[in-house]
Amino acid sequence: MDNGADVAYWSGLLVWPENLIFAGVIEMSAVTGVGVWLQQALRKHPRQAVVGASPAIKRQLQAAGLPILWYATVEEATIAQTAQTAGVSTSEREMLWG
Amino acid sequence: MKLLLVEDEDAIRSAMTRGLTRMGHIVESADSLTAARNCLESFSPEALLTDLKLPDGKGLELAGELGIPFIVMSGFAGFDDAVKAMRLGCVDFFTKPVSIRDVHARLEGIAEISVQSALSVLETSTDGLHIISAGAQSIQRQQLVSQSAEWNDSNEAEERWSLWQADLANDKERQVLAELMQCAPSGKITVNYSDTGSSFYLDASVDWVAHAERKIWLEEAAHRSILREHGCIVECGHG
Repeated sequence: MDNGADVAYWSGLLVWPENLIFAGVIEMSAVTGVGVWLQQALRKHPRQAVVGASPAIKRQLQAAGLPILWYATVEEATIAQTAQTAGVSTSEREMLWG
Repeated sequence: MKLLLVEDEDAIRSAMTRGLTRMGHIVESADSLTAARNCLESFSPEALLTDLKLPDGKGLELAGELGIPFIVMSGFAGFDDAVKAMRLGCVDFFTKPVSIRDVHARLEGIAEISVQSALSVLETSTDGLHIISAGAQSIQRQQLVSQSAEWNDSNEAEERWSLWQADLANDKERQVLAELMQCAPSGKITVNYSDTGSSFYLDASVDWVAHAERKIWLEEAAHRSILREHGCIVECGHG
């Protein structure tokens, strides 16, 4: 289903460093394992929205203390992100109107 | 605990005998393999504490004969000796000078395990190595199969892993192998397979400060692990 969301679909056993695409939401239902290198890469993306991770992967990433935002579905993640970005922030207001 | 101590250096032998006796163990000591075998005619130890190198052979010979939990002490041994000892069922490997307190702590652990678990011994036969496990109701015999790989850079490590990973039982073992191979730019890794799990032996220098997060993960994933600056052992159970 194309819901127009900015989603990256990851898959497989991700235990060796590779160039993974990061997006607003990462869909992990086809991921079978997450290496330590990826924990470190995810740490550089605070408040990353993630959906579909298996309970074991979710436990691992939570135990590693990663600041991930967990959602049940891509739709839920998209709605939450839209809500966060709605309106004009203080910095945006300052940039536009000085 | 009834303990047989085999050590050819008089000063170490008498100090350890005194210290361990004071800590509540019943210690018989010998200065050679021959003396130890003579001692066994009238003494049935529950554990063996032996020097690796003795005047008339290696302590591991005696350990293999006795089939009881054993601890090895050595002044010169390297990682290969430690791996050899561990394959024979060695519960710990101390480099001299040995702390009596550490040995006592390990013996306490053995005493607990002896109560809880069945006895396992290693048998060599024409078709390879086997682990014989004696439980309360049955005796199990399973073949021990080993596989090794060496690498000199990260690309080679990943290449070796890709060829190897299909032989491993599950994704956790695949990840243990990958994480260990990422701990060092070059090294050698050996995996022993058994029906109950796999043991990974990494022969490489590892900076665990730089790999702190990886260390945490490995310790979480392992059934048992010994992570040292040179030479690491990680055991994974299938259960």
